[in-house]
Amino acid sequence: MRPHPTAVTAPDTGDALVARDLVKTYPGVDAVPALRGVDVTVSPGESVAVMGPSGSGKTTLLHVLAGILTPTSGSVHWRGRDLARMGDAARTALRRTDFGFVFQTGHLLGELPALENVALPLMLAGVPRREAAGRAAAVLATLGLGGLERRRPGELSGGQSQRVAIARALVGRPGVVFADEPTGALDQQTSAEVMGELTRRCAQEGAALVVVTHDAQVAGWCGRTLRVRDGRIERPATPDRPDLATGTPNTSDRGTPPTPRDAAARSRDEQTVWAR
Amino acid sequence: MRAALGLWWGLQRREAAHDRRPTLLAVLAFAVSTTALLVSLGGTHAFVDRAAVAPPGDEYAPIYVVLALVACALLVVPILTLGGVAARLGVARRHARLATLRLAGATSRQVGLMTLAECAAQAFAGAILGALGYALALAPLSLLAFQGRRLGVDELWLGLPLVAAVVAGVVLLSVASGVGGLLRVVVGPLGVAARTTPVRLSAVRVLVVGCVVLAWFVVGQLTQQVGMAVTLGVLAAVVATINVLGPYVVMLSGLAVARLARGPETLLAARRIVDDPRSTWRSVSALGLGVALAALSSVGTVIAGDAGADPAGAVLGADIATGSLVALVIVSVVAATSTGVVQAARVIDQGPQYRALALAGAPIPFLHRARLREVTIPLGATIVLGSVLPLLVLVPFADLAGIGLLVRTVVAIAAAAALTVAALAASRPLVREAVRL
Repeated sequence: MRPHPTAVTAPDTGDALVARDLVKTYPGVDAVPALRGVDVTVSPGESVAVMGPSGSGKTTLLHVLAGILTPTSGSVHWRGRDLARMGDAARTALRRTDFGFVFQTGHLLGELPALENVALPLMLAGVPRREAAGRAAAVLATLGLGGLERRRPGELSGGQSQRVAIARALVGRPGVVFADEPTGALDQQTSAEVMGELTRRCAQEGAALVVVTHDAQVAGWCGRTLRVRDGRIERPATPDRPDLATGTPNTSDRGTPPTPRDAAARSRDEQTVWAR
Repeated sequence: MRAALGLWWGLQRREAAHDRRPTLLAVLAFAVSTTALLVSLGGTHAFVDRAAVAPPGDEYAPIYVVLALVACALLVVPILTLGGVAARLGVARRHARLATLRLAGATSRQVGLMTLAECAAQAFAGAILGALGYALALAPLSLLAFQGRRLGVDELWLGLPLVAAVVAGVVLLSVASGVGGLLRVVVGPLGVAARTTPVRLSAVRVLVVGCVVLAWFVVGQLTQQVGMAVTLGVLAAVVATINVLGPYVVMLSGLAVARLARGPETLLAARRIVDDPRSTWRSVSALGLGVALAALSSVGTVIAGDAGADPAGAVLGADIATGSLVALVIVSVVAATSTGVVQAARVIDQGPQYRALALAGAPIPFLHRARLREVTIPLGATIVLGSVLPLLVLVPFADLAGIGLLVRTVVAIAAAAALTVAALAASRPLVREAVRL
C-alpha cells in the first residue's frame, strides 16, 4: 500500500477510488443525464463488475471513474485528489501513471510487435527503452506470452491479443485497471481464460479492477457486481468479497462453475429485476 | 444492375458528412493529379508546337522538345502514384461495407458493380475538377517565358479531345485499380482486413536496379547506334527502378531507426514506416524525384553556362533552370497532396487505435509528433539523397551566378518540404477528433 499524504482533503478515502454523487449530462438536445447521483467506492485490490443494459450509463461511469470524462457534478477521489477538478493534461498524465486500460480487441497498435505495444506506456512515461522493454518482456512472460514478443497483433489470436492488452495495462503498476467489455469479441472459453488472467494478475499486482460488461459470466469473475440502470446504481452492492478477487469465479452463491445455462438464467433474473 | 446502382446511389446520399471524408480526399487527390498531368502535357505540347514552326536552322528547338518529354516522363510517375493513392483511399472502410452488404444478401456481382461505380464516380468528379484546375492554371502559366518569349495560352492548351481523353484515362485507371481490389476480396474477404506480417521486401530489388543501371551505362555509350527512342526507353526504366529501390531503402532505414529509437514517437513512426514501406515511399518519392531533378538541372545549367559564350546556349541554360523549377513546383504540390491525403486517410482508418492510446494517457502532442516523424524521417532522407550529391558536384563550379542558382535551388527545396509538412498538419484536426469522446 502506498501512503496517501494528501488524505487530509479526503479523510475517508485512503487508497480507494471514491466517487460521490456523480451526475453526468452530455450536452445535446435531449439532455437526459447519463448518470444521476452515483456513489461508488472501489477499495484497493478489489474487483468490481459494472453491469447494465445498453445505454444504462455503465461505460459513462467507467469513463468518469477513470478521469476520461469530467462529471457534470460530484467528485471522484483517487489517492486524495479529485479527478473532477483536475485539468485535462493532469488527468491524461494520471491515466498514464496510475490507471491501466483494457478495451475490446483491436486497440493494440497493429504496427508494433507485442513487446513494443506493452513497452509503449512506459516509454511515454519517460522510462528508457531498454528498461521498458525488459519490464514489458517480464510482464508478457507472466501472462504466458513468452516467445511471442516479436509477434504483431495481427499474428496473435483474440485471446493472446487481450492478454497483450492486459500486459500493457499492468506494466506501469497501476492502482486501478479499467476494462470495457474486455471479452466482447471472444468465445466463451477464451473469455473465461482471459478473465481468469485479468483477475489473477490484478490481484497479484494489488491493482483494483473495474470491468464493464453485459456478460454475467464475466461479472462472475469479479468480487462484486454493480448493476446500473438509467444512470443509477440499481441495488445496493453486495458486500466486498476480497476472497474472490484472486482469479476464481464468483460462483459460491450457486455452487457450480458458470455455464451458459446459468448465464441465461441469471440474465432472465436481471430482466425481472429491471422490470420492477 | 439497376438495383445495385440504385442501392449504391442511395447509400451515397445517406452517408453522414463525417463518413464522406475519405471520398472527398480521393476526389481531391484525383483532381490534383489530373491538373498536374494536364499541365505537364500542356507544357510539352507547347514545345512540340514551337518546334513544328521553328525555322529549319534552329538547332535548339528539338532539344527543347526532348527536354520537355524527359521532364514529362519524370513527372508522370509521381502523378500516377498520386492517382494510385486516390484509388486506394478508404479501401478498408469500403471493404467493411461491402462485406456487410454481402452478409445482407447482395450478390458478389452487385457488390462488384457498386465498388466500380464508386471508384468511377470519385475519379470522374476529381478528373473534372482537375481539368478545371488546368484551365485556371493556363493564365498564370502563360507568364513564363521560354526561348525568349512567353508561353501562349493557345500553346499550352491541349484541345478539348485530349483533355477529355485524359479525364477518361483517369477514370479507367481508377476502375482498373478498383477491379484489383475486388479480386483481393474475392480471394479471401478476411485476408484483406486482417493485418499479418508486413511483406518483407526482398533484396532482389537491388539486383534488378543494378541491371537496369548497367543497361543505362551501356546504352549511354551507344546512343548513336541504338537511337534516341531506345535511349529514352532505358532512361524511363532507370526512373522506374527508383520506384523499385525506393520502398526497399525506406524499409531498411525504417528498421534501422526502429532499432535505434529511444523515444516512443520515433519508435512508433519507424514501425509505421516498416509496416507499409510502399505507402511511405509513395508519399515522399515524388518530392525526392523533384528535388533530384532540380538539383541536377542546376548543376547542368552551371556547367553549360560555363561553357557557353553562345547566347542561345545561355538562354537554354536559363530555360532549363526555369523548367526544372516549374517541375519542382508541380511535384511539390503533387507530393504535398499525396502526403496530406495518405496521412489523413490513415488517421480516419486508425481512429480507434488513436482513441485507445489517448484514453490510456498518451498526450495528443505525442500523436502529432509521431505522425510528423513518420513523414520527416523518409522525407529528410530522400531530400538529402536527392539533392546533396548533385549540389556537392555543383560546388566546384560555383561562381557568383552559380551561388545564386544554388541558393534558389535550396530555397525551392526547403519550400517544397515545408509544403509537405503543412499538408500533414492539415490533418491535425482529424487526430483531435479521433481521440475526442
